[in-house]
Amino acid sequence: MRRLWPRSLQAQLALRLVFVFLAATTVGIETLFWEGRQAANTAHNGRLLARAGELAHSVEPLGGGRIRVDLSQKSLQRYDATRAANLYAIRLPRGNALVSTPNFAALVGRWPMATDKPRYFHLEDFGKGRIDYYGVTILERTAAGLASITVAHASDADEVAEALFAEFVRSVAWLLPLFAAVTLAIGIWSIRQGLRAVSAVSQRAAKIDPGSTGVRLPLEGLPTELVPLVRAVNQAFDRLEKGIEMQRRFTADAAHELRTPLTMLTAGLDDVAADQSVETLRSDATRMNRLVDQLLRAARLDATPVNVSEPVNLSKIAAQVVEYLAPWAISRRRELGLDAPDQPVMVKGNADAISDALRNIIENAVYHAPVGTEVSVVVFPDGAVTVADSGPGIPAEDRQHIFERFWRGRNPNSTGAGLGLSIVAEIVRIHGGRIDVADAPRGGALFKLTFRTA
Amino acid sequence: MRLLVVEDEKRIAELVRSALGRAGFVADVVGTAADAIAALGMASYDGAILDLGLPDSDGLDIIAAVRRAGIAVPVLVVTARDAVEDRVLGLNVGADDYLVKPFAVTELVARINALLRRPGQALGVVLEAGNIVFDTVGRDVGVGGKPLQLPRRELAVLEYLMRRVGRVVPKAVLEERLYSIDDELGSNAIPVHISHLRRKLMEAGATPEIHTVRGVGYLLTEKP
Repeated sequence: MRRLWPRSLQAQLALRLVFVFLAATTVGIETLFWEGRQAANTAHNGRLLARAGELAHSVEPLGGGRIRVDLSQKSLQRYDATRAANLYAIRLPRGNALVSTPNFAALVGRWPMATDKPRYFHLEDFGKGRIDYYGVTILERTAAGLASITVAHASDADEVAEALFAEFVRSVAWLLPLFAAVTLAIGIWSIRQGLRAVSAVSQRAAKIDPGSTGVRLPLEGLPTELVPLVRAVNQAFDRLEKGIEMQRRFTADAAHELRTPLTMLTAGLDDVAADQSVETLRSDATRMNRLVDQLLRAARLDATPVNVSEPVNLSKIAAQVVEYLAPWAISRRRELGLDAPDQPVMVKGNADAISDALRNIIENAVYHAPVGTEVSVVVFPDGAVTVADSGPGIPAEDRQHIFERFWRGRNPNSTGAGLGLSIVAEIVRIHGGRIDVADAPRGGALFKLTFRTA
Repeated sequence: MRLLVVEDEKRIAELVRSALGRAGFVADVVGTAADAIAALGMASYDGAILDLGLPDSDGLDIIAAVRRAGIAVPVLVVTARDAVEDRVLGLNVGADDYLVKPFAVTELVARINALLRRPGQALGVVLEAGNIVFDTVGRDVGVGGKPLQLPRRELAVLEYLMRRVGRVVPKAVLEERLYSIDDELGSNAIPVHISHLRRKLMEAGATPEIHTVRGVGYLLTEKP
C-alpha cells in the first residue's frame, strides 16, 4: 500500500485533490437531491391538509356506524381509481367503517388511528403501478364525528429533484471539473515554483567536492519550509570543512614529521662503510622513502584541491620529467628517450600533478625494464603521452586492478606499495582525462595518459 | 672550501657536516635564522645549505636578508615542504637550487658541487669529474694527468657537461651555447660533437661517460 502512494509532491497533491473533489461533488449532489425533495414535499403538505379538510366535509353518516362519502365532481376526478394519482381513506374510530380508494383500505386498516398531529408518510412502490406516494394521516371532525383521514398523492418529489439537478448541471456543474483543473494547476504550479529554488540548490550542491569545500547552498528564494533543512546542511558542511582542514594540516605535519627522521636514517646509512648488510639497509630505506613520499602524495591528492584548468605544455612537462629521472635511470643501467612534436602540446591541467603522474609511470617502467633497454616516452599532438618499456608487460586479467590502491600484483619480488598507479589514476581522473594500458610494440607494458587539450 | 649549514635538527646537521667533510668541504653549522644571517655577514662562505623549517623564522627570510646585504653566496634550499609554490618562491627570492627531504647525502653533495661549479663560484675555475680536469681559464683538458687536445666547440660542450656533471644538460642549452661560437650550426651538429667527444674521451681512458637521453639531452656521469 505504502509503495503505491507516490513520492512526488505533485502527484500526491493531484491525487488528494482528486479525492477531495470527488467527495465534495458526491456530497453536493446528494444534498441537492435531499433539499429538492424537502422543498417539493413541503409544498405538498399544505395541499394535502386542505384535501383532508375537503374530504371531512363530504362525509355523511348513514346510521349504524356507517358512513357515505359524497364527492364533488372535481374530487371524483382527482381520486379516479384508474389514474391512481391520488388516494384517500376515511376511518371512524368506533366501528370498522372505512371508505377508501380501491386497495388502499387494506393497507390503511393496519395503521394506528390518527392523532391531532398530522402524520406524514412516504409509500414506495404501491399498487399496480408501483408508484411512490407521499401522504398524511390526520384526525378531522366530520358530520359522523371524529374520523381518521388519510390522503396521499403520487409523489413527484423525485421529478422535482431531477429537474433541479438538471438545472444544476446546466448552470453550475460544468464549472466543477474546470474549477478542479484550475485548482490542480495552481497547486502544481505552486509546488513547481517552490521547488525551482530547490533545483538551484541541488545544482549548487552537485558542484561540492573536497576541492571546493567553501561552497554553501543558497537560502534565497527557498520556501520557508525548506530553509531549516538547507541551513542544517550548510552547518554540516561547515563541520566537514573543518574536518578536511584538520586532515590537510595533519598531512602537512605528517610530511614534516616523517621526512626528518627518514633523512637522518638515510644520511646515517650513507655515513657507515658499505658492506652487504648496509647495502640492504640502504635499499630498504630508499623503499621506505618512496613509500612515505607516495603515501603523502596520495593523502594530499585526497585532501587538497588541485587547479586543473591552466593551459600547460605537455611536451615541456615530459621533457622535464625525463631530464629529472634520466640520471637515476642511467645509474640503474636503463635508458630514457623522448619523442615529442616540435610544436607545444597544450593541455588543460596542473603541471605539478601531471609531472607526478608521469614520474610514477616512468619510474614503474624503469623498475620493470630489463638492463640495457630503453623506456620510451612519446608525446602526441592530441594531448596524449605514452610510456613503453620492454619488460614482462601486464597480463590482461590484471589490467583492471592495477589502478586500485595497495594492489600489489602477483609478482612476489615486487617492491612497490601499490600506491603509484592509484595516484596516477587519481590525477588523470581529476584532470578529466583517461588512462589506458596495452602491450608495447617491444612486448612490455604501454601506458597511455590522455588529457583534454587546451 | 667553506660552507654554512643552517639546520636546527642536530642529528641531520651532524650527518650533513660529516658527509661534506668526506667530500673535502669544511662546514659550519648554525641552528637559527639569526645566527645564519650573522655568520654569512661576518665570514666569507663558498656556499650555504639552508633548511626552510627553522624555529625562529622562515628560511626564505634569510635568503632575502642576505641578498639585500649584497652577499652573492650560492644557496641550496632543503625543505620538507614540496609544494611547488615553495620551490618557485625559493628560487625567486634568490635560492639557487632546492632539495626535498628526505634526501640522500650523496645527492646533497652532488648538488652543492654543481652549484660551486658554476662560473665565478669556488669550483667554477677548474672543473673536475672522475679523472678529467678542465681548466676553464687556460682552456686545458687533462685525462688521468695527460693533456687532451680538443677543438673549441667540443671544449664548450665538455665544459657544460662538466659544470652539470650527474645531471642532464638539455640539447637546446648546448645549441644555444654553440651558437655564440658559430652561427652556422647544422641540425646534426650537437650529436656529431658529442659522438666525437665520446670517442676521444674513451680513447684517452676517461672514467666518466657521456650518456644520451634521446630527445632531451646529454649527461656526464662520474662513475659508469
